[in-house]
Amino acid sequence: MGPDGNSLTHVRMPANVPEFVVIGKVLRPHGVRGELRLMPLTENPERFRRLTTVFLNRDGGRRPFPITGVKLSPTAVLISLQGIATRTEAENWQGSLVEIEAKDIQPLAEGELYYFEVIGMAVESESGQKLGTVTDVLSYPAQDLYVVESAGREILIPAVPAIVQRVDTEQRLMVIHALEGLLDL
Amino acid sequence: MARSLKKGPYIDDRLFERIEQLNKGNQKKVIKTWARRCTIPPEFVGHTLAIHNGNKFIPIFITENMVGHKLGEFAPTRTFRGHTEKKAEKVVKH
Repeated sequence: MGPDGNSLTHVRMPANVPEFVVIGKVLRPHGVRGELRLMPLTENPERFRRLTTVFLNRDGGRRPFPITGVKLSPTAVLISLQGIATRTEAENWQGSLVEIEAKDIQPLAEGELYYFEVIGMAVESESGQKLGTVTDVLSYPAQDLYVVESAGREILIPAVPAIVQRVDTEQRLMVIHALEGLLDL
Repeated sequence: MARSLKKGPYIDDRLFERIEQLNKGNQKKVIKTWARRCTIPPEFVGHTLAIHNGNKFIPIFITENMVGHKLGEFAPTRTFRGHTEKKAEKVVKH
């Protein structure tokens, strides 16, 4: 078991980490004692239990808050923060983003990439033909899809090893096996 | 009501033939299809099918654990994009 309660072996720290990373969004206040109901935007909501401080970001204004309590439910996370003691104070932060500093980000297992590592990456075919830049990642039931903007149009690339041959996070380059027909959809 | 077992799974004949041709020639290319109701047989595994979602073709790489499901299950017609946050601690798994 890894430190996060899963059996994956963590092998890599991510590259190009932004200064602050979003791990949730405040949905609404919960109760009358200033608890906040969050929508987790992380793969592992259990990580909230190990954090000591989070930043709330509302319209670019960011403020640190020490965590005083965390409750996990299947659909949401309830969090108590020092300095938010009433429902009215909690309502002020409704809709804000919950962030952590880059140093608190979780390491990745083999074959995993954070969205922010991939977005902006150049995409090339195996023959060296430049195809475009990754602009988004779409989550589909079978696999994730990279949205590559290429000469004013969008190409969808399945995020599977059979197609994505190599990802170089240092050089910000992704090499794909461009199957016949994949670039013409 | 579930489909009668007597009939077997519904597999689009034209799509199946095209995949079989690729398998015989040991070729791989993306095949466009509108046959969302087609059940995925083991012969499709390892191919990439562009499944129409009513708006555009979604390229999906077929894996073993998709066998027995319908193609349409993997190309939703209504896409919920409300929670996209580009700086989120979300992971792409290869």
